[in-house]
Amino acid sequence: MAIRLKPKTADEFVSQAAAVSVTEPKAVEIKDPEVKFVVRIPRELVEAIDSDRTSHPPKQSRNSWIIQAVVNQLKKVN
Amino acid sequence: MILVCGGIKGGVGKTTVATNLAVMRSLTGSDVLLVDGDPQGTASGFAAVREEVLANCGFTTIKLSGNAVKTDVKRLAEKYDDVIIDVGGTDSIAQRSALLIADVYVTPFKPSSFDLWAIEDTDALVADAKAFNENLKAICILNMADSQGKDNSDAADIVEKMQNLSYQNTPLGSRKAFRNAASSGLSVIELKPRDEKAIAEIQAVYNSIYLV
Repeated sequence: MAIRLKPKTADEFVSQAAAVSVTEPKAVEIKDPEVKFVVRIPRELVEAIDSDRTSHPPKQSRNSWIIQAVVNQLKKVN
Repeated sequence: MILVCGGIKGGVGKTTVATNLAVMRSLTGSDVLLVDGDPQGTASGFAAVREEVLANCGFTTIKLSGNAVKTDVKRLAEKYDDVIIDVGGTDSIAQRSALLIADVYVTPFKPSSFDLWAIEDTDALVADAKAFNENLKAICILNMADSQGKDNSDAADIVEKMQNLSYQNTPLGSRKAFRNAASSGLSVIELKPRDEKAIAEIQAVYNSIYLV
């Protein structure tokens, strides 16, 4: 078990948060000659799609719903 | 009142409780601010769907992160009758900031060993927060309770031994109505057909927080 240091101030209490920050995503180039493209999607868009997917569980086909969510979000962005 | 739905374990129903209480509170005529302090943004998504479905969400929703959960809410709280903050299931700056300004901190837990381990850490977190927020009332409620078996009472027995979290005996069952309502942007009390058991359960949670 981790040793807990008693915070002396409210600011110290807040700064002791253990959550690890998420690293910046990097574009990955696929070397396979048959699949040669790079997908760059804004993080906000991915988060919005994930949020929609979470709040609207798919009823019939998970994949078709995700595609529909991407389409909807792209429409909003554009 | 500033109510925080928190805890350091994900997937226990914090957003379900927060969004249901926000709707129920707003239906009484209270001007409610729902603060989405979870990077996943599920509460915001719920509000967006609700706005689309009903044309009028009935309450205001904003997204905040980090220290802004404390500073901005302290400023905005004067303008609303009630503030409900939903924070993500991690020991984050947003979680701790919310603990410093909360009147009531509600942490749901499931009757599983993993959740019970996490509740001990949440209890320790609340202990530290109480040093800087003396009036903090911290309660935990059983969510996704099993319909049968001894697991619920076993879990309650363990949680009742916590020193800083009070166990509130208003369990929410593992009911499809909560999931269906959420995906439609509705509170379970608005869902048709009505699930009377689910309604009674969330009403008991509401009453124990707002009608005491």
